[in-house]
Amino acid sequence: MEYELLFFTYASSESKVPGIKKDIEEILTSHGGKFSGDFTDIGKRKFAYPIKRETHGYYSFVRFTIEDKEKLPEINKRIGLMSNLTRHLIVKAAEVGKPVSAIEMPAREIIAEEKKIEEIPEEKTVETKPKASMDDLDEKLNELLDETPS
Amino acid sequence: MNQQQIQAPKKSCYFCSNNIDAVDYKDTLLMRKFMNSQAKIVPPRRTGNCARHQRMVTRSIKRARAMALLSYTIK
Repeated sequence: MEYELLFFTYASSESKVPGIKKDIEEILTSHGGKFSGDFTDIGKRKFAYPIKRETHGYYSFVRFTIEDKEKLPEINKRIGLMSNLTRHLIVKAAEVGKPVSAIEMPAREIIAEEKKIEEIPEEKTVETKPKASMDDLDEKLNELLDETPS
Repeated sequence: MNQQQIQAPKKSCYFCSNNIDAVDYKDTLLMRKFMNSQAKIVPPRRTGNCARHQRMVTRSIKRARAMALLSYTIK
């Protein structure tokens, strides 16, 4: 059966993410799990509520298949014991549906893309307006995008 | 008079009419549609969801809350 594993760490320990991925891979493969794809990074995202005074987290998820579902509780426990990972979730992939790209997620790349898109038309039309308003707009946009998880 | 005449026409289930068979717990914008301004889960009598899809929505909202993708409450 196919499952999906989502985990996140505090954004402050984002540099540990490659290590976490390696550990997860080790745990899964040692219990007979197989990755059906690579890790999909959602990226840095604001928490809907602060966790231990941290406000941002780094999210990533992966899909894997495992024949023997008896091993899932053990895997769940092992991943839960990883100290550098904040929280994780394993669900049946069928309940989530097709793997989606991070469309709804205000990830970094998406924010960057939106900036590009908005900058181009604005340069043509807003010749008379002062340039400072552009920065204000960007700031507001970032704020809005940051606030979306509510 | 007869009170039943005032009742609004019954809404149809969003997921049935759009042929969606699974609710992704990462899709916060979709789940936000089925929550009120206090971040409570809206009952199906207000959204028109069928029982099966309401269960899916509830389940994924609760999952998303645990993962801090959605909040438990907005004061």
